[in-house]
Amino acid sequence: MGRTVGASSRYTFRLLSVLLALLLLAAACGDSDGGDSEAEADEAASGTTESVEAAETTAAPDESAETTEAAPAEGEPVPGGTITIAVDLETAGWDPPNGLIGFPGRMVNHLVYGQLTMAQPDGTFVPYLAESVESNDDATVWTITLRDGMTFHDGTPFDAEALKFHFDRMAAPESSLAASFVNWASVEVLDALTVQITLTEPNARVPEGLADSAGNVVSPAAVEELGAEFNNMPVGAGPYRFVEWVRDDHLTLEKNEDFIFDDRGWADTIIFRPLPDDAARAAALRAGDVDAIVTTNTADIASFRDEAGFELHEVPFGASGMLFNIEAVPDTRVRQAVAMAVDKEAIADLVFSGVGEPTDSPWPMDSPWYADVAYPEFDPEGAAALIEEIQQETGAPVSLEIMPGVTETAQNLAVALQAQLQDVGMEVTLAEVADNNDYVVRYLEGNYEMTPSGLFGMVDPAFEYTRRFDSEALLNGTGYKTPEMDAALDIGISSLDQAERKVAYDEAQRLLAENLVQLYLATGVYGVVLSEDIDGYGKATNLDGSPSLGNYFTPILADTIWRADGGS
Amino acid sequence: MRGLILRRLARLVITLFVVTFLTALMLDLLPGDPALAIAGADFTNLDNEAQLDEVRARLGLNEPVPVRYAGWLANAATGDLGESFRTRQPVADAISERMPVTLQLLVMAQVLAMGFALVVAPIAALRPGRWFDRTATGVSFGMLSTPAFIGGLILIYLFAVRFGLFPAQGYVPLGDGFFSSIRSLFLPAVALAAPEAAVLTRILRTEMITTLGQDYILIARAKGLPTWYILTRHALRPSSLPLVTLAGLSIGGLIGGAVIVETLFALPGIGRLAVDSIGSRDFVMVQGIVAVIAVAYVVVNFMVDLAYAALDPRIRHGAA
Repeated sequence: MGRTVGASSRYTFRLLSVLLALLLLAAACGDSDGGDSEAEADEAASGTTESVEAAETTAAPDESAETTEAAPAEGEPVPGGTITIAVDLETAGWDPPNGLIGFPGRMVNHLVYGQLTMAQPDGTFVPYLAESVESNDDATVWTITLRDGMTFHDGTPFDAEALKFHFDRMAAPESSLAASFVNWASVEVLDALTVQITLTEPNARVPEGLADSAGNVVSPAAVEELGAEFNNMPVGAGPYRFVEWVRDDHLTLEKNEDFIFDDRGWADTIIFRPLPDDAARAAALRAGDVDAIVTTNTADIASFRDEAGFELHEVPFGASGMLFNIEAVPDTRVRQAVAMAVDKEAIADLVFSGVGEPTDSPWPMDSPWYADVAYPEFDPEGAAALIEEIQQETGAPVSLEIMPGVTETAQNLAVALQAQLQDVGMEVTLAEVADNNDYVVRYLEGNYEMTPSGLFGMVDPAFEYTRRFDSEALLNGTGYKTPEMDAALDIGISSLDQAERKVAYDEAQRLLAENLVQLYLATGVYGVVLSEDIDGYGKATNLDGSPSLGNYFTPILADTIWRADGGS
Repeated sequence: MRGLILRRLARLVITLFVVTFLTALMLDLLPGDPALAIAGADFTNLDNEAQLDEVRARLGLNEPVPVRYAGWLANAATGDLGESFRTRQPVADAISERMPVTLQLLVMAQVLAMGFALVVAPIAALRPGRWFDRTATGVSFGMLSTPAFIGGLILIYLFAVRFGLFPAQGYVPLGDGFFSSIRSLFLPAVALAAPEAAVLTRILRTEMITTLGQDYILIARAKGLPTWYILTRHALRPSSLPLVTLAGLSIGGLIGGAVIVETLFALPGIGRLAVDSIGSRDFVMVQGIVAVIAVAYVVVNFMVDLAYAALDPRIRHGAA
């Protein structure tokens, strides 16, 4: 039945094999960019504005295989076109009181609602859609004056009545954010553009809240008309209006010509796509499916350094660290040994792919909140000696359980720390954590010994410190609850005097260091990678030309970037 | 026939009941706290315990599982699958929004897998042990051992980034253009279909080798019938019965693979919704999805049984 495989069949087979091998080889000898230094690390936050210009122009070295002349004409915004931004998470809903806005969602809210104030790199908040935000001497009465002539996307006026409607709704019992408004005694309309808020106790942080959800004002007419549907179809007064939303696929916005400021909003259309997988998101950017991505994956960030055709901005964002539950690890010598045993250089290189520098603070050194507090130096022999001493005393090995985070990098970090601590004689195990939800619950219950967790290191410490380290705070799982810390944090929240607050937060940081509650490893960075067609990033300014930030969580102010080719 | 359908319906109801009850139990056993996921999407808005208590009360999370399940069952029986804990979107709406995407993906994957098997297996079976058969076997094992997320990433890298032939992510609905839609799901369907295709090819090949060894094939050859005619008209149909059964059973595996593929390629489908809902402890949504998938699975397998009868007259007439 069969026939012998003839000479011609053998030849064909060999030819096909060779062709296949060549094809694979061609695919494998991938991109041959030799050292094109178009993309450069950049710091958009912390007030370094001039260096942003440098990132735009290319120094195209001779050995580059690319013939495209990058370096678009500097400076002038070009209207038109569509910009597509890929983010890592979908948002569950757009109505501010529902409290469903996560990090990527804030980029959308900035476009659809705008905000009443904007954050500045130096930690202050300047009025944006508000004309002014002022308080009395003890921060118990705040007066907000709106700009004249603002309208929502449905044409109704954005006036004091609308603002009061919004605030009442945020503070109502049905609102998930009602807890933040619990000391708002009353909201009164003083005139067509002015609203006065009276508080039950001093709170200097009101302008900060107005840069976030509290300042994302909704259109009362639209809320009344749409009811619960408003959560899926937001109507605000921002530079872009909502067009459509297909959950988990895309969100489309189009330019609002009636926005109060002329110099905001250049692209005709902005599309957001949630792409949860880090590798797929980076691939989508490289394939040209999207124009910009935000990523926290340090390996991806490192891979975009020096990659032709893209502009990488490494935005400093706090620091990674180690957080103890001091009730579970009561012996300070153990915590001290851990601090001494960890080699931060190695961690930064191996775990974070060289993205971020070793540090002892959640703030960069040029930040006003940076405090030079004393942490133990890297000293593995000293750590080993300390461990030895404890062992001799107690007669038992020194053990520690690390609760790893859920992302890939977090897992790698936990394993690296485990190895370093085992080197000095500790017995280290890793806890089994199911997913992020499980992780947070364990943290809140204090069901952990040490977890590799750092701080965001926001523009202003108030947001984070009180939530994380106050003795009454829900989010304090550290077991460190003392009156000294509470006192310092109180001043931070209620004082209007920046110098006084600086002293208070320095004290808070000192307490955390002295008691070895929160240690730090390396500066945190998130990456904003833009295709070379997109200009304008990092140049967001306030009306007086000073640089601005949006709020803490808006990596890209999409109304301040434009397509260099204007959508052609 | 009517008796058959009634019996099957009864079985479907029992299956649904068992599956959804077990799901409710398993969800309850998950570590973590649904109220946490709902009250604070990113935990930056979480200020005090009262917020969490309010959520728990609103969603009835303090009640024991059987009570919650009974409540859900009562509503589900009237068609109300409830509202998502997180987004407050009706579960039925969320599922029906996403079903078409996953359905299209599954159909394309199944078509690709079967197409591959129906082309490769007969040729391999024709000359077992020769170079085509060996190559096909090697490639099959390769496809079988490549998990969907690795296969998917390789496909993205090769065909989307390097050659720019297909989009790396995103979904184009059928209504927006048939070919764009197929193109947008092509890579995910290939990633999903690969292991399936390998299994189907192996099974079909084995079956066909057996069939080709039968006497009536020998007679057909002796009559001088062309090879392709023998393969397609005489050998394929009897060999394809296990294939049909497998295709029906594999829906379950495909749905599981779809979860990975949908997340990787950012497709707004049921699989991704299921994973996200479990991660955020959105019990109601998970229950709804599980119920829908269970129904789909049972229905598909029922249709497989019917197809079996249609393909093989011996079954239709009660013999074999």
